Amino acid sequence: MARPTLVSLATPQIRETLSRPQALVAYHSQEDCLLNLSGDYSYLSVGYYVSQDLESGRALIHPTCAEVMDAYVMPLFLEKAKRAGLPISDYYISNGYFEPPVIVDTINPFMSRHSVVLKAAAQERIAKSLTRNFTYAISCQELPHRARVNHFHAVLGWSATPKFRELAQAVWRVFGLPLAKVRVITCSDGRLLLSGLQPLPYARLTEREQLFLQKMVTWRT
Amino acid sequence: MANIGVFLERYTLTRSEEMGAVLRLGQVAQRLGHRLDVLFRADMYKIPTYDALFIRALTDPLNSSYVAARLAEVQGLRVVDDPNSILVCCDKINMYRHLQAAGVPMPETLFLAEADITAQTGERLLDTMGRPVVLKAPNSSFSMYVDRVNTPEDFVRVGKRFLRRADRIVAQRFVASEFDWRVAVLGGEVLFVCQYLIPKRRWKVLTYTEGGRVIWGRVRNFDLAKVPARLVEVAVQAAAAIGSGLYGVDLKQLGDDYVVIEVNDNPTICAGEEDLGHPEVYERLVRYLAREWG
Repeated sequence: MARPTLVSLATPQIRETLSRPQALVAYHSQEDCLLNLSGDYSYLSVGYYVSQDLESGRALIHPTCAEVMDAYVMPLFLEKAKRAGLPISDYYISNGYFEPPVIVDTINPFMSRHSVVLKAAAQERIAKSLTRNFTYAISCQELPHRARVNHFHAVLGWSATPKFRELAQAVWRVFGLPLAKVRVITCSDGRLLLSGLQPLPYARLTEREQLFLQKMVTWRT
Repeated sequence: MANIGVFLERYTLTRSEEMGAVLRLGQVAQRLGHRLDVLFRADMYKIPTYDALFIRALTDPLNSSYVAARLAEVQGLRVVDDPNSILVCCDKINMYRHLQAAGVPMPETLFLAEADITAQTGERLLDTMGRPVVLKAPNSSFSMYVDRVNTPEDFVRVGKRFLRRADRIVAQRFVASEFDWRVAVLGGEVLFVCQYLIPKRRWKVLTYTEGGRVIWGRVRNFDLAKVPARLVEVAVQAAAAIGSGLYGVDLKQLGDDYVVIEVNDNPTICAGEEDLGHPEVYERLVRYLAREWG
């Protein structure tokens, strides 16, 4: 067999990407760590690789790739929240069967979707769609009677809406995501239950949220 | 006695030989005084009642096998594959970075972002790395989304296709061979060694025809005592760069030396194939899961 030339046997010759887009990275002096402020840390996205780049360079960074998966993979998010003592609804993993009212989230590499299912008549159709014809798993969170589903922006442990600030702080403390769109279940008695974390790209922050960040971090160029 | 769970996904069990290996594992576990149960995704709530979990399903950080592995890790079980190994091995960018940091020999490798997928960059790469260059999507398995490109136009076409799966892709110098060495490493020790033969007129062990038919290369087994020491040394070094779990290290032979093509978590173990000539594979796996070694 012909021996290929120019293949290094002694040391690998990995080079980083030829072009490296400007990353949204800042220094957080309170925690003495770097922050990836891309906001969208979806697996294998540009934002995910920003964290991986810095982790591989041994930098103390949030979120780490493992933190991203714990936050974005629904059953892991719920389990981590539960173990941290944060309020969540009962949940289960299913092949397709569930009993409404529930919030159904996908668990597969091909789509990231959720559906709030209130009526039993929709069960079969939603299950078939979100499991890709009953191939992949789904995560089902029970919706308490007369509960509503809301979202808020968590920006480095802070929310512009005072009633969400405690949960915003918990999201940062437990999950290490500087930016997240947080899904909450508001119960009829006013209790708030954490229900999920979704990407919150930096560009979607409000002016007030951006001003808050400016005070908290030092941009790294 | 250890309670061992084997996590399976029905849709990833495509060959009876894979199930055959799980059944043999169960028989060996019983003979050694342990209990081994098969768990499906609806059984995930039972994971805390086990001492160990063995993942035998397609791994991906976004599917339920990762959920099972992570839940088991949080509960303190011994897990094969552990979540970190899945996270590293399922993303070739991350995997090659780990190999690089550990000084593991491998073909020249480059990571590319969207802005790099141009005919100009393709021309430059083909000139410096030689023709063809291999492009890989980071989240590919079973040789899918791994392609050779010979021209800048092919580089752009294939690169753009792979970028639909991830925001970075891998470009690697092509190493021609008639077979790949596969060294399975568990807990830092070699479990079995075999060669995957590359089918005639193909360049990958596993090839898909345009009609969707899968062409598998044959498996040739080797006695552990008779395999080259350098092969084992490089494979163990590569596995250690990822972690201390179960890995299938793929290597190309270059004269008397070896380069690592990739490290796979969740390596295939099929009854009558990888285990042929290595009947001790199942006992070592069971004892490892039961924390009798490693």
